[in-house]
Amino acid sequence: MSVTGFGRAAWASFIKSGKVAFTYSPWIINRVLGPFLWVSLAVYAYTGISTEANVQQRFHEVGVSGDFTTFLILGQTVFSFFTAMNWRSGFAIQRERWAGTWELILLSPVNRFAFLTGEALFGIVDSGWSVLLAMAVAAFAFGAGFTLGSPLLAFVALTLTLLAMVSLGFFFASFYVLSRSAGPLSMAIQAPVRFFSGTQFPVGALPAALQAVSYAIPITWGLGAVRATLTGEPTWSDLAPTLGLLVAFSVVFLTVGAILLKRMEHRSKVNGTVHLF
Amino acid sequence: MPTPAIEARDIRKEFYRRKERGWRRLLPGAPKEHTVALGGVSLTVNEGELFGLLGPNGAGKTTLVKILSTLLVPTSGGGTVAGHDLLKEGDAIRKKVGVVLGGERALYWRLTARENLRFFYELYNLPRAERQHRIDSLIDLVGLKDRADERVEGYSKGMKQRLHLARGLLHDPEILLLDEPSIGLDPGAARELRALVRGLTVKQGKTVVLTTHYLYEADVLSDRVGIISGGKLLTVDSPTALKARLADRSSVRLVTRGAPAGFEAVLAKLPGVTQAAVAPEAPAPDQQAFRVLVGDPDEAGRSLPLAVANAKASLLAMESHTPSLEDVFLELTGSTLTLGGNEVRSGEDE
Repeated sequence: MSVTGFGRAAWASFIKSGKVAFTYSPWIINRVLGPFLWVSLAVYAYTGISTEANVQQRFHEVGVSGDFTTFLILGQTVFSFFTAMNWRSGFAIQRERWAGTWELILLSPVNRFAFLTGEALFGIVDSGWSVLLAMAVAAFAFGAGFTLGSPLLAFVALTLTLLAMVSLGFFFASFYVLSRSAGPLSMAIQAPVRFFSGTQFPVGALPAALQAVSYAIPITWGLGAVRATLTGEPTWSDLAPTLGLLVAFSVVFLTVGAILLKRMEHRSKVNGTVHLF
Repeated sequence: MPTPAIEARDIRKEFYRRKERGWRRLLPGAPKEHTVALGGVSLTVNEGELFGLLGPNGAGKTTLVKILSTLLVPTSGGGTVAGHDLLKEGDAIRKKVGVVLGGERALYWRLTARENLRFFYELYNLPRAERQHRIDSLIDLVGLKDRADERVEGYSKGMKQRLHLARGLLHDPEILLLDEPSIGLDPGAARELRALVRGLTVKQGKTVVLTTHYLYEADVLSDRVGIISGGKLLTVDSPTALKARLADRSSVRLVTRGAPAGFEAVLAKLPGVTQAAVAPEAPAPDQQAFRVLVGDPDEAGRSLPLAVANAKASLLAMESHTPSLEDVFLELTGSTLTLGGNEVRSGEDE
């Protein structure tokens, strides 16, 4: 499939998803309220039993800079994007199964990644505006302190983080191609990712063995890069290893995902499970 | 010699499904049920032909269509579709084949017909400049012009089915595979759909494979019919030729007044007649009914009225019963097609 064809198919998926999503407008309220409430819960969970001074002391011990509220807001922002990617990329296949349209997509000569790219892009836009709005309100309400040293570096860090998330979503997509029962997988990875990637506490606070798990998750690195660029003034060379790792994660997940997707599609056609929902 | 659009060679499809339900099915070594959906089907469909695949539910019709459309991989066997290898050139086949699986689903209900078609048009990467015209003309073709900008969720079954057809035609495919296109439709909607399908071969020269369990549909639409049952293709021929195989089973029911005793013996000796007997159910005491088996319906049609006139009797009724595809199906499988509910009505009302 040509680049133009890939782009057109991705755009068509993006538009289709957008039109369908906006017919369910009450969900928009949930999307805005959800991230705000999560941040509020986390802020009060800590301020209810401790002081900023105590938190700062602990932050210092585990090598984290910035105030706790900003730390939480950014953690929730990145995690909300992850949630959106988790339910918008691979899970998009499950939605097509429910609609009975998955067979039609497989009947077309479209590149399966083009379809998933459109779905993922819509996920970014759809969750992006509501997450950022919720975080802006949270920052205002709880008094977050952002420091934007290099806007370009922050943009690159966020973009590469999103790319790594999309890649992870594409990797999981192959399981949805194989089986209609892959939904619990998306559900199952939510809580561990939230825990291990340090959305609500510094990864350094975990025992060393568990930290190994944390650093095997691209979200941990992405979140670290985003926090660094929005609460400090790191240089490009400071973040180069992290950004390089995010690229490496993306390449690996995309490559393995593409291979798996093709194999699982073939397997589902052998098993006769394409039509199941 | 006609060019083949589809050639299926000894296609076999087996499925293995877990027997257990619930959590037990996930255990290693859980017993599996083995089903042979297609037991070695070979078939040739010529270019521009409307080929009907007739069989009861579970005969293997949908499985064959899904294999030909690359939605299923056969367990063994192979073939070509639109000149491309079924097992190796899936992408090339998908560009040339339109598939209508039909049913209530397989459309985005929250979108309009036009939005549905636009989405699928883009997936096929078709010329941008022609998009509007192509979609408008298809909407026109399937008669949805007045409702094209309404959400599909408000459509009737017939409208959804027509939209399925429009979607299947978006990329102007050489071959169209239609799986039970008129199932569940009321007689009027089924009639409209059949006219549309017939037009695709007659006016546009497309090759159409249509699966159905409606005898009438297979009979009136198909250039050739393949009868499939239990995963086996039992026979392939034109509807006329299939019925002609049972031509010696054609019969005529004669009702006369004033026919002499033993007239059945006279009838039995007439040209074109194989056998004649007095039928038990005469409409009135002064009338006689005869059941006449005919070998040559044309010849018998001429000789029977003449014989009645020669016997100075009156011919009150002459009803012919020609063999139907149902008879052919019965002959081949030993059973009738299983029909039920509304499906019978949409097929048999015509």
